[in-house]
Amino acid sequence: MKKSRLDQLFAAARREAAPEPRPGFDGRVAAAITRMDAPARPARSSATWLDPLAGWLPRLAVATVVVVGICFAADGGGDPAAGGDLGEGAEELVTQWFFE
Amino acid sequence: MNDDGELIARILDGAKDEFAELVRRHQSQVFSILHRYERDPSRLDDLAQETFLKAWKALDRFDGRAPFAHWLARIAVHVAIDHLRRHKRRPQEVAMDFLGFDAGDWLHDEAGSRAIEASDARELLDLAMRGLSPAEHLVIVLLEIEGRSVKEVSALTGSSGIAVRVRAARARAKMRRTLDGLKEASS
Repeated sequence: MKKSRLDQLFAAARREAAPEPRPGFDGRVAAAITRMDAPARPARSSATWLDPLAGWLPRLAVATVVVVGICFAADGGGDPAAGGDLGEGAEELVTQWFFE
Repeated sequence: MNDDGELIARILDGAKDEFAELVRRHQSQVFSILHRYERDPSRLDDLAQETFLKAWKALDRFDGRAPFAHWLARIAVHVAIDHLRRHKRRPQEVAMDFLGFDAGDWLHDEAGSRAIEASDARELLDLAMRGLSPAEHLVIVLLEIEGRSVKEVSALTGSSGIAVRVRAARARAKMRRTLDGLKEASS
């Protein structure tokens, strides 16, 4: 095919009128935006130094419970009759791990 | 259109409902760009909606240095190329399509004496462009059908001027070959 024939096609296609949007198109876009629940504008989150701490708190709480649990277990289940306190129990545990 | 900036400022200040006014102002332009890539009215509507939703999400990044219409056109072009990539058809499908009577007649008119209607030209071009990559398709539409300059196409697509020219030349050559193939297949 000659170049000029292709150019004729382009020229003819250029004359094609664009379709108009169907009535209510703007309303449908607005509804889609509402559904999408776009972030509030122009509100922007203001992060503070407390935010990362808040993120860490649940993990810190779990770690604390685990450590306390281990100490109780090492201390004979926390039975006063078993003698000694938590500090002694921890010391005994460390001694067992490192020197035996 | 000069007050687009004011309207956008109000929308960003929380007047979310006023976005519909922005849509009304620019919907014809968006449909005009996108109908070069999608003829089905329902899918065209979806693409136009996708364009405005992307504009909505990115509205706080509109800096007002260029007119809003240019910024929106760029989004529409990106929606179009994503659409072309998603729905890329294999070149071998071209010969399987039914060619309309008038378009077929024009193709066989060796003397070139017949004029061609816009819709028939579009039908032939749609078939010829199926052998193109999405990037080539985009460049041909922007340059040859929308009549934009190489500089404009370069700005819209983010490609260099040389890349635009090379893609266009390659695309034209492919289209001519495809149309020759169609002519042979339909004779």
